Amino acid sequence: MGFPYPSHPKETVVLSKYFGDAGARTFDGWVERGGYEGLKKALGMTPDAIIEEMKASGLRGRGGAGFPTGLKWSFMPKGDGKPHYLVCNADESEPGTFKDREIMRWTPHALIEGCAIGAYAIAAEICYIYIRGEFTEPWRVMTAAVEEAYARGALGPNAFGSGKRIDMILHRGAGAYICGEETAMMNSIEGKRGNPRIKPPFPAQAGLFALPTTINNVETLAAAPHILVRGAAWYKALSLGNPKSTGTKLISVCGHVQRPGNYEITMGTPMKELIYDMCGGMLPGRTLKAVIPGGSSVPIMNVAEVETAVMDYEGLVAAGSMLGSGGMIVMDDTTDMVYQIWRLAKFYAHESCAQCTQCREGTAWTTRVLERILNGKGSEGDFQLLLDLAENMTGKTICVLSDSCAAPVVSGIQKFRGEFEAYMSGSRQAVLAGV
Amino acid sequence: MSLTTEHGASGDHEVVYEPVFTGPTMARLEHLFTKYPTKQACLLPALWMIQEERGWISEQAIGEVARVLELTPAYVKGVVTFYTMYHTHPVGRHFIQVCTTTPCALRGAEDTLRAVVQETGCGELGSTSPDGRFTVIEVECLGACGFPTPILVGDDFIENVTPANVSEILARYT
Ligand SMILES: Cc1cc2nc3c(=O)[nH]c(=O)nc-3n(C[C@H](O)[C@H](O)[C@H](O)COP(=O)(O)O)c2cc1C
Ligand code: SF4
Ligand code: FES
Repeated sequence: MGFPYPSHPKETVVLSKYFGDAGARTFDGWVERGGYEGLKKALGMTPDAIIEEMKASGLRGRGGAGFPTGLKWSFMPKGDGKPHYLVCNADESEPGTFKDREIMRWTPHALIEGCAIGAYAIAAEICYIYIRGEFTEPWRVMTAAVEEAYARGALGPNAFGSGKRIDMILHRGAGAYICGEETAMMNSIEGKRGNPRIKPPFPAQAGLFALPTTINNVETLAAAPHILVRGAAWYKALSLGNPKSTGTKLISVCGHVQRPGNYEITMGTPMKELIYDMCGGMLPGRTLKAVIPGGSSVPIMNVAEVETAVMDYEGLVAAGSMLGSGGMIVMDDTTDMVYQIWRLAKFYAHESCAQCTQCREGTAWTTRVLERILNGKGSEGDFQLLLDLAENMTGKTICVLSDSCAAPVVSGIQKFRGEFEAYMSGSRQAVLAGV
Repeated sequence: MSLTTEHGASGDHEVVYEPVFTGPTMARLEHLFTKYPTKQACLLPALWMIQEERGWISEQAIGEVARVLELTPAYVKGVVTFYTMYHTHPVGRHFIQVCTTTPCALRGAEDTLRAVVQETGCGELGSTSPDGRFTVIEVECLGACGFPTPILVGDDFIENVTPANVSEILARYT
C-alpha cells in the first residue's frame, strides 16, 4: 500500500499488505495472516525444486541490479561439504529508497521466512541480516521477531521439525553507504573496513569468510514465501506485458508529489499512473520537471521521457534510465537542477571508499566543478570537463559507485543544459558562497 | 593540549579508563563469539557495545577491543574511522543526525538543519552545545526520504521534522 497512505486501487498489494498493521509483527499475528506457510512448504521440497520455482517466477533482484534470483541461487556449489552463507542486504542507503525499512518495521516475519527459504535453498545454515546502523526501529522489531521465531521453532537446529538447521544473526552497520555493495558488506561483517572487493572471485565461489555466499536484498527475499505459496505462474502473471519483468515492485516515491510513500505496483505500470493517480499528482500549482526513477544512481528523466515510460526493468532502460532500487525522486518546476545534481555529487564524494583513483578524485573534482558553477564562476569549458571526468569514472573502477556519480551529471547536462548556462552567464544568481 | 570536558576526557583519551569488557558485557561478547567463525567478525558489534556504555570510543577503548579480539590497535583504529557512526571524541548527551541529501533537500531539509543547529545552541555543525546537551551533524540519506526531514536523536528516529516543530521535539531531550 502507499504507506503511510491507504492502499490505492491501482496498486497490487502483496508485500505491503500489512504495512501499518502492528498485529502482523508477532509470530502468532503473522501465522493468522497466512504467514510461515511458505517456509513450511519449502522445507518439504528439495532445494533444487525451490530454485526451479524461483526461476520460473521470473523474480529479479530488488536491490538495484535486477539479477534473476533463481539463477543466482543456482550458482551456489552443490555437495562441496563447505559451510555456505546467505547474507540479507538491509543496508538500504540509496537516496530515494525507503521500502526495506517498511518491510522490516511491519512484516519482520515475512523477511525471516524469506531468508530461511533462501538459506535452505542454497544449503546455508547461517543467514546474516546486515541492517544499517541508523535503522534503530527496524533493528528492534527484527530482534524481537528473530527471538520469537527461535522460541517458536521456525529457526534453530531443527527448523519446523525438518531436521534442518537455520540460524539467523542480525549484524548492525555503522554508517557507510558503500557497505550496501555486496562485497563491501562481506568485508564489513568480517570486521573490516567496508571496501568492495575485486571480482572474480564471485561470492558464490568465495564470499563471506571466503566461503560460498549468496547475497540478496530484503524485498527480493520477502517475495520468496509468496511465490512458493501461490506458485511461480501466479507471480509471473503479475506483469503488464513484458515477460522479462514480473511480479510486484515496491516503489518509494519522494520529492514534490502530494502523497509520498511506498507504492506496490505490478511490473509494467505506466509512470504517469504512479505519479498522477497513486501519488495524487504534483504539489498544488506546480508542474513536473524531472524524475530520478531508481534511486539516485540512475540517469535523470525529463518530462517527455516520463510521458511514455513504463515501470519495469526494460521499460525504464528504453526511457533512458533504470529501475534500480525503485526509489523514485520526483522534482517539480521549482527545482534548481544544478544545485540538486551538485548535492548528489557531494553524496557520492562523501561515500566513496577511496580505493580507486578515478572514484576518489573524480567524485571530489566533479563536486568542486559543480560548486564553481553554482558560485557563478563556471564557464562553457566546464561542460567538457564534467563529461571527461564522467567518462573516466564510468566502467573503470572496482564497484559502480563511481559510475553512479557520473549518471546524474551526464544526464543532467544533456537534459537541463540551459540551467547550467544560466549560472555561467550570470542570468541566474549564484547560490553558493566561497570556493 | 588540555581539552578536558565533563566526560572526564582529554582529547581522545579518557582520564581514568575502566575496562568495558568485564562481567555481563564480557559475557555478551563471548556469546557473540559463538555466532561468527572468527573473533575479528565481532569487531563492529564490540565497538557498538563500547559506544553504548561510554558514549564514544577512546584510544584506550580501541586498545581494549584490540586485546579482547586479538587484533592490533592500529587495525581497530582503521576500522573505527571508516564508519561514520562511531565517535572518536566525546559528544553531547543527545547526538543529532539530520539528513540533507537530495530527496530531503527538495523538501526543505537545509532549513530544518539550520533550525536544529540554532535551537540546540550548538553554534555550528559538529560542535557540542555549551550545556553538553546536544551535538548536531549533517548526514547523508537516512532511508526515510518520503518523510522529510528525518532526524536521529540518539537512537530515536523521528520523521517529518520541520523548522516549525524542532523546538517542541528537542524539548523532550534534557
Ligand atoms: C554502491 C552500492 C550500494 C548498494 N547499496 C545497496 C543497498 O543499500 N541495498 C541493496 O539491497 N543493494 C545494494 N546494492 C546492490 C548490492 O551490491 C547487490 O547487488 C544486491 O544486494 C543483490 O541483491 P538482489 O539480487 O536481491 O538485488 C548496492 C550496490 C552498490 C554498487
Ligand atoms: S568505485 Fe569508489 S566506492 Fe567503489 S571501490 Fe572504487 S573507490 Fe570504492
Ligand atoms: S534523502 Fe533524506 S532520508 Fe533519504
